[in-house]
Amino acid sequence: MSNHRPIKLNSYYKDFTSQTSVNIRESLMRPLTLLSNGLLGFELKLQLYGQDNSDELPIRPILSDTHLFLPDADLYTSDSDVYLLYRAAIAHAVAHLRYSPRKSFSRTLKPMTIAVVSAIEDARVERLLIQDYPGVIDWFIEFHIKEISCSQLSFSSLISRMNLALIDSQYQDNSYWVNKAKNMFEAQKDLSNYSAFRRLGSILANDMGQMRLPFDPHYYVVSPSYRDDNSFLWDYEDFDTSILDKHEIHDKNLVIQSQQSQDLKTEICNYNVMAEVELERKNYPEWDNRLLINKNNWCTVIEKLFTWTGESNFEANSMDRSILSLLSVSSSDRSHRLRRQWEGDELDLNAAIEGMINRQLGLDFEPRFFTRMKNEKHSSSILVLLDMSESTNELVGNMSHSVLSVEKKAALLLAQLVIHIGDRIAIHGFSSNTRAEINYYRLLEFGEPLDPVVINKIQSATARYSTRMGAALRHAFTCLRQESTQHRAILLISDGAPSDVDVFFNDYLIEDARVAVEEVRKYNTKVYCMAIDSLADSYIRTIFGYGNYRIVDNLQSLPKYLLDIYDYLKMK
Amino acid sequence: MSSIMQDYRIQTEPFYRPTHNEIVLYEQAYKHRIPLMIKGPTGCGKTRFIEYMAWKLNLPLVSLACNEDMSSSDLVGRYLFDAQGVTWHDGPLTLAVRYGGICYLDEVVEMRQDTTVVIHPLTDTRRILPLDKKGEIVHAHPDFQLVVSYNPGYQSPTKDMKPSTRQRFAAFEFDYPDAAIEAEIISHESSIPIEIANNLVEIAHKSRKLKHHGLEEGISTRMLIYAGILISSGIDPHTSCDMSMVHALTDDPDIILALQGFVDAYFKSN
Ligand SMILES: Nc1ncnc2c1ncn2[C@@H]1O[C@H](COP(=O)(O)OP(=O)(O)OP(=O)(O)O)[C@@H](O)[C@H]1O
Ligand SMILES: [Mg+2]
Repeated sequence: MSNHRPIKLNSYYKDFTSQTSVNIRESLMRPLTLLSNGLLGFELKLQLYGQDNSDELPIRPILSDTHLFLPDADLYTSDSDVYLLYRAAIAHAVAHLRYSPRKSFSRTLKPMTIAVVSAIEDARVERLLIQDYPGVIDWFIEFHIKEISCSQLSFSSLISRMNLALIDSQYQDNSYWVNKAKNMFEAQKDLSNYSAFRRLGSILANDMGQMRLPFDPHYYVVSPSYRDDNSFLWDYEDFDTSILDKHEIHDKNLVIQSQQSQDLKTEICNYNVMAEVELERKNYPEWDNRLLINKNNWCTVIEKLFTWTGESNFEANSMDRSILSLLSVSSSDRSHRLRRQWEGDELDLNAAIEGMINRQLGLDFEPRFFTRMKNEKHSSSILVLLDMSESTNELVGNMSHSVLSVEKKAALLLAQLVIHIGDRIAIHGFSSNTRAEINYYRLLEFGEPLDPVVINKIQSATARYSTRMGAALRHAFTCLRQESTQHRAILLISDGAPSDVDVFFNDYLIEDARVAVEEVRKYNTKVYCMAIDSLADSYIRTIFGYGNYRIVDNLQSLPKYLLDIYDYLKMK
Repeated sequence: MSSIMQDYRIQTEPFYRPTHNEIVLYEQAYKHRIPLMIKGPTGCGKTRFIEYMAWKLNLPLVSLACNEDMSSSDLVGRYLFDAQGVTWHDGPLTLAVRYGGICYLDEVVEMRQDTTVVIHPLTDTRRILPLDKKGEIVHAHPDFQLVVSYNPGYQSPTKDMKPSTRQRFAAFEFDYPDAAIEAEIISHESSIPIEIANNLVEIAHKSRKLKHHGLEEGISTRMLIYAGILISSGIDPHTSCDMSMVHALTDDPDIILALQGFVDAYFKSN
């Protein structure tokens, strides 16, 4: 298989294969999502799906208006080809989504007709896509060529040869049918005229029928392998042959998988509920944006002792380096450098020259020629508040990390940094189950060292219930007020959406959270939000205000973002 | 006018393709010597615009890129040692104030807020610049105008101007030009056919949507011009884009792969 950048692609793979635990297919989901969203202009979710072992038929991608399911089976593709195959599958999906009508009525059509008409439609939309993106022809064509070399005379073989003839103008075929298809296709000048091509497909299917080639819908698969199974094109309702068993199996698989993981989650949650010990209750008001009043004692925050299973395989060491190495180049130490000091470690060159000049001019001068690092102990206290609601179990974008795991990572990195510098930090978490139960956990207390036990505890925190942000923020401030440091700040890390099961108006909790943030800010306390969801933009801005939040879009930049945020939080 | 400023004059007309009515607006602002602030992403044409206006209004242009370590002496000037002992040297700002012209402070938010305040007396009706060290008050030349620029997109929570600084300026909000105009600019600056320029602009648009998805900033007009120059000198589009757009923009391997995908989608191999 040829591609433009064998070397660079390899270096990308090498990055991952050197870390043996990383799955190349999963790690491709992010770059491919960015690619497909870019080509499409709106969001398409990519999802890997496994193959049922008992099913011997080769599988194909499955497309819907919102998702593209990509087969994750060794039978489907090898690791070395997977990028090119998925890339072609995405481009093909983009072509359908842009140009194909959805769910055509299929009841009166024979399976063979459906197969031929679908192949024509595939070729039509690919042509249209190639007009938009001239380069994608290279992405497709190789797969067609490969398909031809290994086929004999059969229905599938003729379809494959037609597919190639329709995409590659150089290709010559000796079959009458293939050439007829090609000539009719090329004669049809208006590519956007779907019904003309549909008619053309029916004629070709009819010709094919006359050839009496055996066709068994059970064993027919779309070719080449990057093309989806075309269930996107047809409405099979009322269509009662068993042609669709295949699809049902796929769908069932998907349903079963998600059902299982749901059960598992619920189980874990139930376990945690039993193990919790209540420590303290406190009531808070809540802002009602309809009545424009504070409803007093409306919410109950319950502090609970956090219990954990005591198992986690978090490597504390690897983490140390990533952020502490950044620290040496960060501006945070520069802002700590005091200039024009009486004494210090380094000469302040500008001050020295100026001093000498002033002396020469006979002006007053003070020999304050040194710079020195500021070393104020514990000048700020930062409370990190983790959103531990159910929604944080979701994966970030198409990565294999959940929001919660990113939250934990961020909190731990920041804690390391802050403790290293000598400031004070606490990590608390919350989730809510109506206004009567806002669960609040102190995972790391102010002044507590970040030892392996604490790290494990934070690592094992699980997510459930909802996000009543306002009450949690108010309680976090109650905790933070005990601190007597110069600067105080709350950093909320969340996927962004406040919600609870007893609230039905979208903006109610958003407005309450906004009011809570305002209240806390009145006490000279900064409130900043780090959102682990790029879609969170609009309401996060409402709650925290422009410039007071940051959206985390990739993990690599997390340490840098944290340094930035920390610089800001400890500023006057 | 003094020959000191001769070096700061722009001799030949810079190529500038207007994107809206910014030229007229600038002329009016200049007529009343209103200080200007130009906001916009990197490489979208802010500097080029000011060069063009300086040429059009026949004014010297003194530019200075700001950074965090700058002190007010870097702006106004300082005494330096020489054979005679010590002599005062005007800084770039003082030059423009004394002899007339546009002083352009690039990336002004990089400067520490306590440094920025030296421009305050210059940018209200007083139009004076006190040189404390020298004991002189410079009254601004009638031609003097202050222009600052910065990029609000970096979203760094630590960097902003004080309200008292901001409110001394009228603002222009710049962005990358509309697709057709941007392609025209690239085609002109790098002498590539307009069809190739169109493709480059499309790729840039896709990259700009990746802001907040792992990119701090998308591909700029400047980068597209570099790509165009490489292409017109005979390097194939894939390599040209790799060099000037993809790898220059980011180190994130996922984003690199996605950007290369966009390039591949627009340019056929061979
Ligand atoms: N409207 C335009 N007319 C002509 N050329 C333009 C225009 N816009 C951008 N350019 C081209 O883009 C290049 C980059 O623009 P410029 O250097 O002015 O960017 P900038 O906005 O000042 O960036 P930075 O913030 O990084 O300084 C210029 O050298 C010029 O070739
Ligand atoms: Mg298809």
